[in-house]
Amino acid sequence: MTSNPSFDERFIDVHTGCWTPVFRFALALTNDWDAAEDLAQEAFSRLWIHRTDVDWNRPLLPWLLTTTRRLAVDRFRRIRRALARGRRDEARTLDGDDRVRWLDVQRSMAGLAPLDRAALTMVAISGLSYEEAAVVLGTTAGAVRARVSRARRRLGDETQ
Amino acid sequence: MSDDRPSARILAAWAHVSARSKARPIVRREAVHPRRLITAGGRLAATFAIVAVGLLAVVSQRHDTASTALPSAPGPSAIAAMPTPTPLPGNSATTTTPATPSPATATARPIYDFHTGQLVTAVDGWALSGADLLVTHGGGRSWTVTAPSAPSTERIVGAAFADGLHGWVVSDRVPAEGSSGVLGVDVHRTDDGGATWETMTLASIPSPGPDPLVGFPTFSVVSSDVAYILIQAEGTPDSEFRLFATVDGGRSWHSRPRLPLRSITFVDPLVGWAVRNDSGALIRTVDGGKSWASQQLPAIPGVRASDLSPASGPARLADGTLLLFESAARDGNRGAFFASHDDGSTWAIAARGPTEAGYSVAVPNGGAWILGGGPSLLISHDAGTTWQQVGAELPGPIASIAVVDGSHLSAVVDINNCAPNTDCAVPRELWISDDAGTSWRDATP
Repeated sequence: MTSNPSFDERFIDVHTGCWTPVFRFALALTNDWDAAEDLAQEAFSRLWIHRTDVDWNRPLLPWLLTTTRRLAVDRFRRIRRALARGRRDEARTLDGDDRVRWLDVQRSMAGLAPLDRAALTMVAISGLSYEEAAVVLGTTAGAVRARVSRARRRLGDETQ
Repeated sequence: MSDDRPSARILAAWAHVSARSKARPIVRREAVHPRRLITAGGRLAATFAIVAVGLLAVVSQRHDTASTALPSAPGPSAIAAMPTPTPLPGNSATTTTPATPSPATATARPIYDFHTGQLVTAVDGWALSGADLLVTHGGGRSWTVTAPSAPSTERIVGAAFADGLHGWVVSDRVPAEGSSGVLGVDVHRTDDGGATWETMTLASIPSPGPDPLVGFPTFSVVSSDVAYILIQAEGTPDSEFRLFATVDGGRSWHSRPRLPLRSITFVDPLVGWAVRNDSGALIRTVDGGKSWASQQLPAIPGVRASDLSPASGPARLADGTLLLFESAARDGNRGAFFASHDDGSTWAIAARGPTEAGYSVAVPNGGAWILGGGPSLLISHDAGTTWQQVGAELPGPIASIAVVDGSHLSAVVDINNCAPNTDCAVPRELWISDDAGTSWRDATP
């Protein structure tokens, strides 16, 4: 089996350019560093598997984010089971200081619902519009806005 | 409130640390030769190799240990190892946000202050800001807080007014935090500009999951008697849509068939349009939302139908013609205006949109067409043939425009000028024009 070299080049470009936003989305959904890296990795593997079906001339980040969300729905169940067994998020790919910082941020974000976390980080950090975030989350711009609003209030309430 | 509030500090730290994840090298095995595998590893390995052919094998690499990136499967294989990614500007490990936001990004209003609002007459208007409903009787130059009395667990999620007196507010009552239960949705009506309110339950919805809420609802107000409310009850991961109609000013509301809709526009008590949230298709009703049918629009040469999407339903021009704008999904493509002279039964292409991409909001104002939602606000006085740029003072793209009369308009403006990794603290403002859209003033409460 031979591959089309252009797929390799295109895939590398997309993988390089989209890793951080895909990982961030997965991290927002799971609030679990290791699970988020696995989830992002799995989304990119789906892209490769579907490389012949994909329109490479269009932006692929929305597709990757939507795929990540769908994968996450199943992953939530596994994460919950793992947590029930006492598994810890070790975040081994982080250096010491960053790991401490992550665990601190993770605690702060733990009080938010997954979709609230995702909506908040997509809008406030990734700079997506409510409409763009709504497409990825499979909901409406109004609902995204409501989630962002609620998430901010809860973050403020819980740390004041 | 400034951006040293807790949510901003947490988000800045989250942005910083989340940029530290490195894209893992990916090793793709494709030309694995089954015969060599049989020799090297026996039948089990051969079975694995056959399954692996054509699939992407993801190998985790921790701590930059190059050796772990190599697959252990024997035999000749075409190995394409991903190089270490080059960080992209603004979205990379090297472009980090300080743990505490820079004072330069501080803004006066938090993100959840102003949600939406509009003028309903030349001087009357309303706005949702935070948990408050505000009304103006001075063209947005002064605002007064008004709200129906409600328990502390209730949250205002939407409002609409037909004029300066008749209005409705939708609120939700959510279950205890982190739990499911029943999501209560109330509607409050006023016929004296918000001085007094009458409350009734619109729906009690069994929660589809934990932490349910009602997304900001969509209203379509036909008159002070006839109005429609579309709500979306959201849980995790499902959501549920409900459409309600009133023909007696909100004294009673009637539920319509449940369809996943994202916007509704009624041009008279019975005829209306909606966009399906699942497919993006435009649908039409002629019986007040009891039944819906797909709306067929003429094809545009050179444009794929799937690349066009309606931002909202049509608007009625002074001569009775319905005007509908569909925006283009792809950069470089132009949206299009469609016109109907038979209440939407048939449509014809009226004009193509301007060449600049991204416009998504179109409203007629007298004889003029106004186009927003893109990089600028445009007005056409010749039915879309030529466009004039206006509203240079507007701080961002238009999210929605409300036309009161030939002179007075209001617009909700998105502040989307945030750089990546920054915490955008003022995403929306309310702007008002008193001269048919030529100049605008900030009327944000």
